[in-house]
Amino acid sequence: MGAFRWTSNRWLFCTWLAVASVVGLGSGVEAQAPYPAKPITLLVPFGAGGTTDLAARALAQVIPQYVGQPIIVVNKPGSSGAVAWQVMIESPTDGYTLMMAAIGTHGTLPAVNPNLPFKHNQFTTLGRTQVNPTVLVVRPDSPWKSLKDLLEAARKGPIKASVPGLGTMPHLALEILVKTTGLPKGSLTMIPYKSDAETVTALMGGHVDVNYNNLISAISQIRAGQVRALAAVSPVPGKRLSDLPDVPTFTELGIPQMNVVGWRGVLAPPGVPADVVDKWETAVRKMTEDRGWRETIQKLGDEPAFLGARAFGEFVEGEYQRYRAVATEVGIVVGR
Amino acid sequence: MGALEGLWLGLTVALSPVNLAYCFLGVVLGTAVGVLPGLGPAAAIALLLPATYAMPPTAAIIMLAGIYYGAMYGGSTTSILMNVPGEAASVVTCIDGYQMARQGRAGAALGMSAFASFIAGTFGVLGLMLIGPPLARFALRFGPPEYFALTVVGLTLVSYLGGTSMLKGLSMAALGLLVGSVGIDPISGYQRFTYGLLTLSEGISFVPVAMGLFGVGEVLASAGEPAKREILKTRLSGLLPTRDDWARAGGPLARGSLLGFLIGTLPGGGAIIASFASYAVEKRVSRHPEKFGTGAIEGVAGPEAANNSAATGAFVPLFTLGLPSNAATAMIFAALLLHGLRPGPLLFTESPALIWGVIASMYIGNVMLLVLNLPLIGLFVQMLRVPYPILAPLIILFCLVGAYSVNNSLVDVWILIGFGILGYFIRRLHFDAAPLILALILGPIMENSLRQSLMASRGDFSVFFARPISAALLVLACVLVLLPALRWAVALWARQVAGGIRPVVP
Repeated sequence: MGAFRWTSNRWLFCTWLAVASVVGLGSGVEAQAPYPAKPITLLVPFGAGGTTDLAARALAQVIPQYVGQPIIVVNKPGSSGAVAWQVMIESPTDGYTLMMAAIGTHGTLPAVNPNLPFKHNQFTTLGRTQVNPTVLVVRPDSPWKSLKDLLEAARKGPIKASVPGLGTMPHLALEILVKTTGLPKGSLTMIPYKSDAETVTALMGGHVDVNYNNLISAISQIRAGQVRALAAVSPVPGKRLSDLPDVPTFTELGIPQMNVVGWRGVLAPPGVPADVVDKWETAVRKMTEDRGWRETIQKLGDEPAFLGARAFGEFVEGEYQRYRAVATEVGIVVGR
Repeated sequence: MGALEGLWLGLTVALSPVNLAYCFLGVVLGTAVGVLPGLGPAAAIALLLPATYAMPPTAAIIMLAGIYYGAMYGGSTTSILMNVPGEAASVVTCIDGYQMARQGRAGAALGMSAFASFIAGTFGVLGLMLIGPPLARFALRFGPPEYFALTVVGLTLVSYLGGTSMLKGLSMAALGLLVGSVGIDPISGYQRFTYGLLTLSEGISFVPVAMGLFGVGEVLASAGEPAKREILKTRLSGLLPTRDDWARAGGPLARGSLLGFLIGTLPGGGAIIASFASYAVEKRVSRHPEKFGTGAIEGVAGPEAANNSAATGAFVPLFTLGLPSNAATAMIFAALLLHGLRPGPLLFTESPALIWGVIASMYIGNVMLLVLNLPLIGLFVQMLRVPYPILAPLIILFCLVGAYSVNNSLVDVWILIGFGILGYFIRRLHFDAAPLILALILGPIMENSLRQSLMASRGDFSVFFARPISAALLVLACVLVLLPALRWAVALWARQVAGGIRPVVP
């Protein structure tokens, strides 16, 4: 019928043409375009659905408009975040594999685990995104009406505290409390549970006497009068938490050393090029000013708290040193 | 607001076309998540969470809850057809469900599983609605000593899980306890059996172990046997449970629903433990315990009821106290937060329309799931007509992908393969995998709660007997252990009496 027939040879030719053009286009972009030229992978050191995962997904929804490429969130859970950390430092330093870091992975984990196959500062900081307030709670029928009451009781005999695991932030923070208030060693018996929610559950059931937790894990119970807050940590110096205007901060109570908050930020493998750092520092700053992103993370109990690449690096080092000091003193070692 | 008033309000919310549509979408997705091995409801909800930002909060929670309880329907499908647990809570269903399928009764097993899920799911919602708050307050009394006692009861059930040989059952349980102790010691921080491998420091995850022992092990064992699949004998009439099936399943359904709901409401309970407990109880009370493991419908009806009511039971602490008790309810907790709601006791007064809407949607969702799943049975059974040499590699492929997808971890794939090979030998040497799985689940909980209890009591063991719930559970465990011995002694005595009488009779 027609003069032009789709012989198998022509099919083959067209297929090769298509393949060649796609490959050619792809390599062309790789070679010339400035960073970022393709989607960026963001490793999450925990399973899907944890607080760090939710933070990463909130970031991945908003930051592409400031970075210019989509973000692919990949969960690499395991070993309290060490598995993802390992994957990140073994990745190419081209800025296409980054990691959502948190206090657990880069503050407390290296402070308590001396056997990690990498160093505590083996990464490049790009920017801190957010922090989250914390709170010290007791049961509503507890005889302790203030932090002072609790500390006096602890001086007389050990009281039980639930913590979400050995060497976690609440565990180390309570040890800091013991140390700075001059309580005898072991005045708080730290009973490790599996999660933040389990530690509140243990308090409500009367199985422990006190719990130190992220605000978001206890706020509903505080509002419903099922637990009572004695002290809180506010991310804004000199201001009480807007959710808990009647609860004093640790700084007000004369214990500024307890000013510990959870935090998250974005990291890259060691030695990424400067243009990647600049790009991300700017993007993270713009994101922390984005109203949609702020609203999302505030619902999850976090507060926007930007720190630039260098300042974030110094902050992480300070966090490591603080927790390393208390872990060494008390003898908390995970993974020996 | 009373329960009936609340339900009325909830129905007006849940029956709106938008919410109905999202409920349907949720349960369809849930069924799919359940059928796919590896991918669990928690991960599925996490992945879909960002997609719900733009949806109205009520619709979003209705859909996400549907994924969770819907997964419990789908999970049994692959357990029955291929011996691959589609969901962690469907491991027990493999035991008798798969044997039923081999006898050409896959349809009856799938049908019973769907009805059991429906009955127990509806029962669970009723319980959540009527006795949620007092039950949640009671469950809070379960502290470390109570969990320890509960796991002791659980481990004594091992003797009812295994096949004929008690010794083989106990040795598998010991192996399970050993596997469960791999990883960093949660109290002292020492490494145990990790061989310096970073990936083993959080322990061996349960999903690849179960899929390996059951799914891969079964394929390997079948590969060496002459093909004799009875599936072609299955006629259309065999697609639903018979009257005899129903008569036998009545008790297991009722007990499984109740047991599952109670275990599900515990902050540390869960659908997996509930399904194992139900299986053991049914085998214990059955007049024909020897039929368990050879395709007893009771062994499908009980656990399938238990895992569904446990899934619904997990909403009790979430809705009434704001305490998520497992990964999936933690995701729904996060979803509530993202929609600007603070999950907790005040939710009932602050957002009654949402909370009652979600509860009412669960009734509707369970009806949808039943209507959806029954016609699928015919389709699923057709799958067994695929020649085994083609089906078997596909099952292996499913397992490999499923194991990888849980943690994006290649180590999990190796664990799957390793336990698959172990599963082959378990079959060849006539051991049973179920006690290993139960011990693997219970061992870490038992160790943790024992040590938590002793930390709190400063090393005083009397704490286990001073508290009423834990004391009662420990007594129950003793009775369960001693009962067979007692029975044996009574039988021996009776025989001696009989033997002593005989000479008198000429």
